[in-house]
Parts: sequence; C-alpha cells; structure tokens
Amino acid sequence: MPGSNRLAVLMLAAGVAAACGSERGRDAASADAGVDAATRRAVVEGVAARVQASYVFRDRAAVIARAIRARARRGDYDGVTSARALADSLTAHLQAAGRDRHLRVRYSHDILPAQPWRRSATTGADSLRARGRRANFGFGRPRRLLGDIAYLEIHDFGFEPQWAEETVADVLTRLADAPALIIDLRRNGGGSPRMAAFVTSYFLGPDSIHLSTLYWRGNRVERVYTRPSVPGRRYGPDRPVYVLTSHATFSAAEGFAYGLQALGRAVIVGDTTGGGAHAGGLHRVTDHFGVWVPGARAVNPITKRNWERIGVRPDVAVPEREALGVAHALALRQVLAQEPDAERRRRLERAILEVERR
Amino acid sequence: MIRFVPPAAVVLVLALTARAPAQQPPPGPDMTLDAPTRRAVIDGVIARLNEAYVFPDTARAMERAIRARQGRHEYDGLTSARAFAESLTAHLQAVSRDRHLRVRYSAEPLPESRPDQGPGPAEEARARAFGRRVNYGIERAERLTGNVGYLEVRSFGFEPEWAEATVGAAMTVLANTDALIIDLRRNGGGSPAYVALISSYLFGPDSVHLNSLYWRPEDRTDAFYTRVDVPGTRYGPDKPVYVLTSRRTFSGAEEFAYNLQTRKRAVIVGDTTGGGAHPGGMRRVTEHFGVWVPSGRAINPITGTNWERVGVRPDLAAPADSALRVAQLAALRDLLQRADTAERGRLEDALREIEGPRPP
Repeated sequence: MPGSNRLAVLMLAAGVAAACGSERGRDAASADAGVDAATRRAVVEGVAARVQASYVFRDRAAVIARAIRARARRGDYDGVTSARALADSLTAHLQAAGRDRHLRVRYSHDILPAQPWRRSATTGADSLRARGRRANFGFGRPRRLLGDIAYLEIHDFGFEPQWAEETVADVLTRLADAPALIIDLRRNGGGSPRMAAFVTSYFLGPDSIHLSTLYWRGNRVERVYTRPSVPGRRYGPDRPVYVLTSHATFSAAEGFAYGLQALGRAVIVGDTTGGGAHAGGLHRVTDHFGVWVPGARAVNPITKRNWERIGVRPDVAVPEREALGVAHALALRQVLAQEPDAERRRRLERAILEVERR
Repeated sequence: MIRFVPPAAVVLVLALTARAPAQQPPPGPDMTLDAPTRRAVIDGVIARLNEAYVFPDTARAMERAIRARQGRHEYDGLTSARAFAESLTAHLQAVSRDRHLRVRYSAEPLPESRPDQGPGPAEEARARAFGRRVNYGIERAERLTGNVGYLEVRSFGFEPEWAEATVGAAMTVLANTDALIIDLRRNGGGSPAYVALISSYLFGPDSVHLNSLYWRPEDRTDAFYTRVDVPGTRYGPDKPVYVLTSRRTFSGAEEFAYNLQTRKRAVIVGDTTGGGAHPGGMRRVTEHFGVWVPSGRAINPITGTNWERVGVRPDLAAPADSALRVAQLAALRDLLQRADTAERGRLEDALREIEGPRPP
C-alpha cells in the first residue's frame, strides 16, 4: 500500500510525516486539538510500548520505555491539554532518554489507519504521486552558476524512486554535461535510502555498488545498491561533485553525503550534519498520534560504521551559510586545473576572482 | 537471499527479504547428539519463533506442542542430528502448516550472527560469482513457433541490481514476440525486489503496486512497486502473458504469479503452487542448527490476503509437465482470434505443429 510504504520506509524527513495527510510546512499550521486524560494515558503508554517493542537497540528500548513510564507516574504529563504539546514533550523526552534524534511523536489531524495496507491502492498512490509532483519529488530547479558550474538543491529524499524516476532523469540530464556540480543538502532532512541510492547512481559508473546495509531489529538485513542503468543521462564518475551540508542535514541525506564521501566521489563542504543513521517508520499509537521509531541502523560497507550522533564530518568545514561560495570557488579552481584552453582559463580565473570577492 | 546457496557460504549470508528454503545445500555428514545439545536446540528454536514468527499465537502453540513432546521424552532417542532436525521440522509444520518453517542441521558450523558485521565482501563476491554462473536465474529466453516468447526463470534469488542488465537483455530478445510464456515450474522463490523488476516489464509506464510484505518483529510494511525505467525493452501491458506453475513453485515465485493474476495481467497455467507466503530468513540457533523463521507475510493490495497454504490456483489447470504445451496452444488460439486474415495461416500452421496430426 503506497501509504504504508511512505509510513514504513523512511529515514525521517525532518519534521514531517510519513503519515497520511501532512506535508512539511503544513504540519506547523495544522490545527491543534485538546487531549483528555484518557487519551493522554493511551498515548503515553502506547508510545512507551511501541518504542520498547520496536526500537532498533533492544536494551536501550527498555531504558527509554522505562524513562517515559517513570515520567508518567510522576505526573509529568498530567497538565498537558494540547495534542501538539503532548507530542512535542514526548518527543523531547524520548530523544533525551534515547539520544536519538529520529525518535519523534507526531500528532496527526487526519486519522492514522490502523492497518495501512487496507487502504485502497489507487487512492493512496494517486495522492502520493500528486504530492510528489507538487514538490517536484524533492528536487529544486537545476541552475548554472558563474563558470557554468551546475547547482542543484535537493530538499528531501522523501519520495520513493518509482514515482520520481522521470523527474530525476529530467533534472540530472540537464546537469549531465556540466564541468562540475554542487548538490545542496543544507535543508534536506532525509527520506528514503532507496531514493538516495537511486540519485547516487547518477554519479557513478554502470555498476551495482553496495552503498549501505540496514540491520533491522528483527535480525533482518537489507542491502541497498546503486542501479547500473538509470533513466536519462548519467553525470558519471569523473567530474567533480561538491555536497553542501549543515547541521539540519539529517538521516538519508547524511547517508547520501556519507556514501559519496566514503567512495571518494564527492567533497563535503559546510557544517557537520545532524547525526541520524537509523531507518524506521511511523507507527500508529492512537487514531491521531503516531511515533516514529528507528527500527534499523544503516552501516556503510566501506567504513563499516555510520554517522549516528557524530554526523558526517565535512572535508571542507565552513559555516553553512558560506558553504555555497566556498564550494563554488573550489569547483572553479578544480575545473581550471584541467582546462587546457587559454581563453576558457582566463574566463575561469575571472570567475574565481568574482566569487572570492563576494 | 540466495535460492541456491553457494557451497562455502553460510546460510545467514545476504539476507534479503524473502528466501525459499525448499532447496538447501546438503547438510554434510551426520553427527551424534547428546541430551544437552538437544535441549539447547529446542530452547533456541522456541526462542527464535517467539521472537520472530509472523503469528505470535501460532508461535506459542508450537512452543506448547514441542514442550509437550519433550515432556513425553519423544526426542530422547534421537541421536542423529539430521533425524532430529527433520523431526522438529515435521512437528513445527504440523502445528503451523507453514512450509517455510524448517529446522536445519549443518555439519559446517554456522557463524554467530554479529549484527555489526553481517555478510562481508568475500561472501558478497562469492554470491555474485554464483549469480553470474546461473545467469541470475534467467535460465532460457527463446522464441517458440508462432512468434510466442518463452522465458524460464529458475530463481528470483538475487539482488535485482546485479541481474538487471541480464534481465534487460533477455526481455529485449523477447520484445518482438506476440505473446509470452514465463516458466516458473522449477522456481522456489527469492527476492521480492527481483520479482518486482521482472514484473515491471509487463506493465506500462505508470508504477504499479504489486505486493506488500508485513514484518512482524518490526511491525513494518514494505511495499513493492514496478519500476518505471527498466533496462532493455519493456514488453508492455497489452500482449498476452502466461505463467507456468507446478507444486514446486514456491514463495517469491508464487508472489510473481499471484501479483499478475490479481491484476489480470497473466493467465496461470499448470498445477496449484506450494502455498508459501511468509518470507523470513535462517536464524542460527546453535553451532550446527538453524531455524528458518517466517517473520513476515505477503499482503496483496487488491485481495488483502495471500496464497499461504492454498497456493496460487491456476486459471488453466493442467499437469505441470504438460503446462507448456497447454499454454502454447492457449496463446496461439488467443492470437488467432484477434488475427487478421494475413496472419491466420501462419498461426494455424503453428497450432497444427503443436497439436500434431489430426486423427483421420
């Protein structure tokens, strides 16, 4: 069921729903609701139980659940009458106890389906596809900067590849001939590891490269590979790629950067990222409350580690608001180093002066 | 998830989502068991089932049944490791009726499952080499009389990314045929992502939701869709497709057939299939024993259910060893019905070729 795919699959896109009905930004504006004592109890206990049952690390799961239940017994939630305040305070407590920024409680204005797979396949797919189209599947408009350096912002990886293939192909094809590329992930809070792998495929050769292994708590192991063939034109493995990061870069977006860094395929420019390497999904707790629980940890097969809590360390550490300028200059210098034509070299040198002056 | 496990590889290797244990590698020389080992195996198997079996109530029922037998000393005389594994398997299946559920004995020690490690690059290389040798399950792709295509897929047990160039080439070879027969009579299953890849060729340019898998330990649903972009030539949604099945057709192969049947994209020809809709994986219990635990279940988005125990019911029932002929005749008759006059002669000739001479 497409809805459940969105529910279950993602590495969390910051602040957003994998659940039906909500989009980034709309969440902030959605109506609050009151909660009575019975709902509060059901939500708090439901959250604790779900985390205990599903959190990726069994022993820590028990610790987190205990912490929430202890707070409940102390009456910490008794005065909370707003649904969003309940969600926010539970989130804060979960993250404090688990030190895992993926743990989140969500209040949903729309009812969360009890069994996601029962929803009609058509209506779910249509609405997800429609939402994806409105958001251009998380992709900004590709641009050229001074010196013909290509620039692309990817806002989020929150859509599965099968709906986004045409859009991704279109965007990447337009960048395919650029001498260098800057990918901006400074506001990307994550999404699907499969989408990140699909996009990564464009920057490598026609191989299936093992990018990541997801270790689920049920002892299940899921491996994520790049695709040997991609629609549209491939950017390829040879020309420079710079990835811009900030502290808000999170989850699957960090995975994207980390993977390219481990392969030596991209230079990471900006701030250390948020530090979330756990995949999971939103679990319904009550009709209007869900808890996003990390059920798996991602491990990179090259480094044999991940970026949980520590984040991706940039190759060029600069404050994030300076990252674009710095990357642009680096890209120009890299292109200059390989440019034989004298006239083009002069133009690049002028561009470098211009960019560095800013 | 390898359908045919390469010799040196251990059973925990490359745990993709769905595996069919029906053909496991040979267990190796038998071994004598003592009572503490038997107890450890029983305790471990029960623990794994309670942790992960897709239906917790059934897991508890299996526990009760095994403990009762243990209490009656039914296992005390079993000193052969192989016999013990077979006996436990039979007892577990008697309660669950789940043909995926098996206890396995391995003379070669099973590695500890180290969550940190998982299968390493050496094992991946071996699995890839094995995949290459068996052409990633693409056993045969050819044209039959009357311009009917034939594709035998022996296994879906490979990462689709490894196989996609091969699949693309096979489908391109078949792209000019007017109907397609896909033979799964010897296919015991594999990866749902690989099932989705091959299925993608049979649909149009809109992504279709083929199947969902619900994993009980994680309370998580994965959905599988067709890919919009596929290497090679798409067969398309309009030409007739026939899928051949037998009783051996199992697990992922049944999923392939069931997905297409529920979407009315293919006609299923042959025997009712094996009836296994619970993916899972092998879990180590002791050094020499593992248990294949079905930890998930398939949920079809159209029917809301699956083929567990009942199997996929053929649209055209026929003994498996005659299913190809039955499908060929059905395909040619179907094509003949829509054919214009210029085509009829050729198709009638093809039909006669298969039907054989008429009795006088």
